[in-house]
Amino acid sequence: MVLSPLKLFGYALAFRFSSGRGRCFSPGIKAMLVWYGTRLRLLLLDWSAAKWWRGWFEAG
Amino acid sequence: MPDKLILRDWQQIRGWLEPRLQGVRLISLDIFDTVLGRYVGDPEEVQRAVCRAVSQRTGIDAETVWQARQHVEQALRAEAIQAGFDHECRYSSLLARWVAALEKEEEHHYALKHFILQTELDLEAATLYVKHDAQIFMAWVKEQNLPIIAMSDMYLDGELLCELLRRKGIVDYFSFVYVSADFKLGKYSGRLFEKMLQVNGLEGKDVVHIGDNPVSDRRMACRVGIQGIWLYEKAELRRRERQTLSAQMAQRGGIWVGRHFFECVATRMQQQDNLQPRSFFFRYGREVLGPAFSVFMQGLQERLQQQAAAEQPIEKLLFVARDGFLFERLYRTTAGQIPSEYVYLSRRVITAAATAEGLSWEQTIVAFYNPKQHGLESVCKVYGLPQETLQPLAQQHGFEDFAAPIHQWDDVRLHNFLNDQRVQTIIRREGQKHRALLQRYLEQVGFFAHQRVALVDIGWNGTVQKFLKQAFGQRADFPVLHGYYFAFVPKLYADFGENNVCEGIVHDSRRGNACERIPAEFEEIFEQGARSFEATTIAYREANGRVVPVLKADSAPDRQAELACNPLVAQMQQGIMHHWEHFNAVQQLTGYSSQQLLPYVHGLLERAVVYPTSEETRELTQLVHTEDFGHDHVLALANQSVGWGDLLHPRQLLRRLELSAWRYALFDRIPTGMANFAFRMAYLHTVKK
Repeated sequence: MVLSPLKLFGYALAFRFSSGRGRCFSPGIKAMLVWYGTRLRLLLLDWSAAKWWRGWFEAG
Repeated sequence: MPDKLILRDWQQIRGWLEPRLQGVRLISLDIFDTVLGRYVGDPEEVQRAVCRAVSQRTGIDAETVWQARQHVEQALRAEAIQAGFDHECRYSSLLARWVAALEKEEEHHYALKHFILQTELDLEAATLYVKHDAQIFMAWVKEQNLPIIAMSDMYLDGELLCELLRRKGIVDYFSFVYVSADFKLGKYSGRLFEKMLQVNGLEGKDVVHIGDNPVSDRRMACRVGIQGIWLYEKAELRRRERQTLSAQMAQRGGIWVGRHFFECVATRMQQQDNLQPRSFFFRYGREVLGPAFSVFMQGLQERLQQQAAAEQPIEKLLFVARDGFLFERLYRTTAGQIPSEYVYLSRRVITAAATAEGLSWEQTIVAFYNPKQHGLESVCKVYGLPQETLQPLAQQHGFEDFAAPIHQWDDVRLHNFLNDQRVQTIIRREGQKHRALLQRYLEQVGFFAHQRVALVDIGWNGTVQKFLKQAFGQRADFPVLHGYYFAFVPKLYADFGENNVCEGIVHDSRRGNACERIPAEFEEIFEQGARSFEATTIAYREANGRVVPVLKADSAPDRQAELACNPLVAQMQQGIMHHWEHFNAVQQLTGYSSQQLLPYVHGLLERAVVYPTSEETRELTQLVHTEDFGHDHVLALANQSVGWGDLLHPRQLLRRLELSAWRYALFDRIPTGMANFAFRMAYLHTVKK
């Protein structure tokens, strides 16, 4: 079971709202944005699909 | 020119090939990412890992070793181009020059070459898995009596690639292996295909080549007349993209390192085990306790290495019963050189020996911490004292019912009872017997025969270590004692004395990190996961000139409950062992330290303890917990779940939460995990920051 960064961020918030320390297993907002941003980019700019189309045109 | 085919899986390839079999004389397969998949995204990670291993062996900085390899590789590739070949480099040539660059003494070359070669092959083999569908396809081709050859653009020599295929159990499918490194010709230029056709005396139309690269495996194959098929596996490509991203994020540190690591472990486990139906307890061991215990074992190994590097090596490892049982099993699977032993020690036998000088009031009240205590009867059970001898004396001091709970710890009757010299004489006599047997047992396991000994246990207070020092610390041969605990929470004692070092690897309350204290929130599950199937040690006895442990009888009520849970614990431990195997393989490859993995593991445990799934709550509460402190009680891991109506009775609710071993499981009936989150915050406010 691999935990999503968002869940880890959520769990760490309980520390943030109580002891004031939530860094130890928080992924960090910036890093999390990079992660989800890149995932979104990979989804939208699907390079493997682009390659497939290139191959398809080449085949044609 | 043949069709430029794009097919999405092996099933489609078979469907295309089946009606055309008559015209085909040879099937050619690309190997990497076509027949063999990788658990890690980048093949460079294997080379980096080899450099780290070389660095450890030679003492040369890993980056220098890496640079030397790169330099030699580039030189060889340049030479190949100059000689009119493709920019290829053969591993055996690379190895010879690389070793010469690293090691000046020629007589050491052979051993170093052998070491590097074996390490590289071992690591490559550890990162690769055979794609299930590809294997089914190859078996089908063999049934059609068609020969299969391997065609790979790879720096390993052909015979080394054969060795890899042998280790993966698929070498017999191939009649020949063409590797770009052997011929200095690549698929990407089409020249390796031409060479293959020439060697086999075939024409392009006789051959079908399948691979995952649209250029090398399809376009170039088709250019020389071979039917190239581009295997376009969308899910596999997505997985590789995710792996690459995960590896990039790991550069940022924090939880990302652990996340990348355990993603690789999960992929590896999934590829090898996904077809096996597994029980809940196996899965829980594999996915929750496995990462925690594995990172503990890695931390332990690192500490043992540090001791050796500081020329203060640990000479003997003692895994303390009963929760050191699993750790001892895990240690035995490593190449650890330190002699180790599973020792039958328990709080019960240690505290019994501690009464050799009499029983103080402070010692007595330890038995009353248990909410289910039975007064003096509990004291006798905790310290192994004879009830039948002490009972008449207790009566004289006003204890009519020997088993009545004592809630007023300052009870005058108790003070009078303890101040009675007849009572103390009986206790001392018994304590001295216990102590003498314990001493002989410790001598027998070699405790006093080494300068530096380590105790390995789950935690928590370090009672065994504390009392050992107290009872035998005056002996001149008492060793320097290192206690390595999964979690160390010294609530009962602060001072462990000189030359008596304790450390919690996954959690140490002295570090003051609130995020890592999660094992202390549900100690029982970690104890259950690590414990032995045997009963707790309640005393020692002599048998054939040796001191042997006396275990609690199977007829005891708590032991009965334990026996019923043993099959579930066994399944959990199988899961943990399974995780450990894959953990080691990935650790060797990535080289991450336990410190780098811990933040993610703490997050993983936070999820498991504070936000359990319904299935986890339902299954884990089947387990019962027992303790080795002389009581016969069993502890249920969770009481009845909290409902909305309970919120109307906050005091009762608070009391229930206080008494529960696993508080967060009580919110099982309230969906979304919001109640767990709110309670977690409230709880964190109350504990010491």
